[in-house]
Amino acid sequence: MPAASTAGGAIPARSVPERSVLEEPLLRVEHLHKRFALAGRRGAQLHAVDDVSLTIQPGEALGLVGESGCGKSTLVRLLARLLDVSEGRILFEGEDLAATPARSFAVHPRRAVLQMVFQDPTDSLNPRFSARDTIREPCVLLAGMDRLAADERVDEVAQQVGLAPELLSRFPHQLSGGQKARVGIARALVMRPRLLILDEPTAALDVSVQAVVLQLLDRLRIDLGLSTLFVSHDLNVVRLLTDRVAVMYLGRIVETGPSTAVFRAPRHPYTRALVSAIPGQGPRIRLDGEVASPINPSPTMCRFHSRCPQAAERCLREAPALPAAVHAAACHFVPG
Amino acid sequence: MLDVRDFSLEFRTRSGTVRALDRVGLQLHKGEILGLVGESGSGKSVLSYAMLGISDAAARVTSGSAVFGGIDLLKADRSTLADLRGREISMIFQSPRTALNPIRPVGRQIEDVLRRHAVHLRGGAGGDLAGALSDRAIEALREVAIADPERRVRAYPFELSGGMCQRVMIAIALACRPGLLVADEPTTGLDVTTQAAVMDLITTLARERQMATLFITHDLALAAEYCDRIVVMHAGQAVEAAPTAALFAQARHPYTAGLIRSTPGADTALAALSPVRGNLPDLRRNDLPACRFAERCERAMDGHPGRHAVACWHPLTFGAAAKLHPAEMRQGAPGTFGD
Repeated sequence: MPAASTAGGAIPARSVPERSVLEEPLLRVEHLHKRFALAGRRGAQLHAVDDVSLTIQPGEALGLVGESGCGKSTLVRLLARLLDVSEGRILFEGEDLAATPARSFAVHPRRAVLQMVFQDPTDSLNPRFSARDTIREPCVLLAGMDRLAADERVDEVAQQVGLAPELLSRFPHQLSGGQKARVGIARALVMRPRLLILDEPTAALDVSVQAVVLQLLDRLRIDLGLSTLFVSHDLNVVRLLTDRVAVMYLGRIVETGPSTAVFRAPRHPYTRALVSAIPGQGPRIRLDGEVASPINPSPTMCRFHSRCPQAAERCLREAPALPAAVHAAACHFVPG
Repeated sequence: MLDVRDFSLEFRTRSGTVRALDRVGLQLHKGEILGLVGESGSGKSVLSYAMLGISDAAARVTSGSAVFGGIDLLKADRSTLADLRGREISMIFQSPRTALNPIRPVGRQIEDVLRRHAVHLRGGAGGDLAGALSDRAIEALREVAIADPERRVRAYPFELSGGMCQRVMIAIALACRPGLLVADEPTTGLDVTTQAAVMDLITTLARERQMATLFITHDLALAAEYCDRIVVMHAGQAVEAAPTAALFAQARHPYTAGLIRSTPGADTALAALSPVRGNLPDLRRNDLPACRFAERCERAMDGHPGRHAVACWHPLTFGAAAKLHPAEMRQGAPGTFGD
C-alpha cells in the first residue's frame, strides 16, 4: 500500500486491492504496429514495432531488452503516448489509449496514470528549474493543484525517494548524478502513477551510485504497488529488477518468460547470444552476418535468420510465431 | 614499454585549482593489456589525454614523468608528440560517431593517418601514392573484420552502424601499427553483443601485434574479462594495482572492494549490492586528505585521516606487502604496488 496518505494533496490515494483481484492485466498491448514512412522513397516503410503483444499485471515488473535499433524506444514512446500507433490497441485497465492521438493525450484523463523516468537525468531536467519546480510541475499542470497543496505533495514524494529537504531548492547543476536521478524519479511519482516506465534509468550513473538507485526503485515498486516497465541494455540490472522479461529483435518480441528462467536457460538463439555476451558468462556465442533491414521486411521470413547460427531453409519461408506459453520463444527450433 | 611515475596534474580554473591527478604511477609492458578502472571524475581520461599531449589548455603538469620509448611524454615538445601520435601511440575514443569526421568518407580518414606518418609508402609504390594509400585503407578495414571493405571505404560515418564506426576507429588507430594503444571506454554506448565483438577484436589484435594496451573503463566486469592487470583509480589517485585474478579474489583497498560489491554480477542479489559510501571529494579543496578516500572509508581512523595515506594502513587482507610504510609508497619507487 502507498505509504503516502492523502494528507494535503488533491490527488486521492488510489484503491489498489479491488483492482488487483481483477483478472484483467493493468496494461494489455495487442498487435501493436508502428511504421514510419521514409521521406523520398515511395512505398518504403520502416517497421519499428511489428505485431507486439504484451501484458503487465498490477504490481508486476516487466523488463524489455534488445539491441539499439530493435524498436524498444519506439515501443516505449508508443506506450507513453508520445507517438501515434499505426495499428493495434493499448488497453489500460480495459480502456484503449491508442485511440487518442498523441497530440491530444496531454489532456487525457488517464495522462497521469503512466509516467516515465528518462535515461539521462542531466538531459531530462530543466536546468532553470529547481528540484522543487521540476517535481511540482505535473501537480500544477495535470492536477491543477494550488501551490500550497502541490508543495506538500512535493515534500512527501521527496521523502519517499530519499531527497533531503534542503536539496529541493537546488538547481540540476548543484546536484550529484544520484540526486538528479532521484529528482527524475520523484517527478514521475508525484502524480501517483499506476505504471512507471523506466528507460535506462541508471545508464548515466556510476556503479557505486547505481546500486543505491536500483535498490530505491525496487523498494518504491513494492511499497507503492507500482507496475513497472524497465528498459535497459544492462542485462544484469534487468535480471535484478524484473519479474518477467521480453526480448526484442528488429521490432518483434522473440522471447518472453520469467527473468530467472530467461537468463538461466535462454531459448531463442538471439537471447542465447545476448546472454552469452554478458561479461563473465563463459563461452560466447558470436553473431556473424548483418542485421536484416527493418524497411519493408518480408512477412514470411524469420527476422533473425541472417545472423542465426541455426538458420535453415524453413526460416526463409516461414516467420516463426511467439507461442502463448509462460516461457516462450519465436523460433522454429525451440519446442513448444 | 610505458613507465608513469609520480605523475601529478592540476587544472587552473576560475573557481580554484583542481588537483586532478596526484602522484600516479603505473607500468605497462609489451603485449600487456592493462585496465584503468574508476568512476567518472577519477582522473582516468585526464591521465591518458595528458600522455598524448591533448590535454585542455588549463592543465598543468606539476610533477612526474611518463616515459615511452625513451621519451618523456610529459616534457616532449609538440612536434615530437605529433610524430608519435597515430604512429607509435594511438587512441580509440569513446563515441566513434563524434570522433570521426562526418563529412569525409571513412577510407579517406584512414588514408589521412597513413599519409601523415607512413613516409615509406612514397618510395615503395613507385610514385602511385594515392593507389597505395587506398589499398592500405581497404586492407585496414579488412583487418577489423568489416565485410565488403572495397565498398565501405567510400561510406560516410552516418551510413555505418555504431559498432561499424567503432571498427573504423580501431582501423584508424591501428593503421600505423602502434606500439601503445590507449582505448578510452571504446564500447560505451554499444550493445552487449557489439561490445563483446569490439572487445574481442581489440584484444585479439593487441595480442597478435604485441601491443601494449591501456584500456580505460568504468565497467569492472568488462575489465575483469579482458585485462591482464588492473589499476583502480579514485579521485586522481591510483589506489590499487594487481593482476586481474588477484584483484577480484582479494581486493586489498577498501575502495576496490566497495566497487566490486556495488557491481551487479550474474548471480548477485539486489540486497547484496552495497554502494560505496559518500561522494568523491571536491578536488579544488585545499585541505584534501593525503588519502583522498579517507572521508568515505569505513576503516579510516578517527582523528588520523592523514595516517591513512596513499597506501592503506588497514588493508582488508593482511599480507606482507600490504603494510608498506606510507613514506616508502610516496617515493613513487617502482613496485609501488608490487606484490
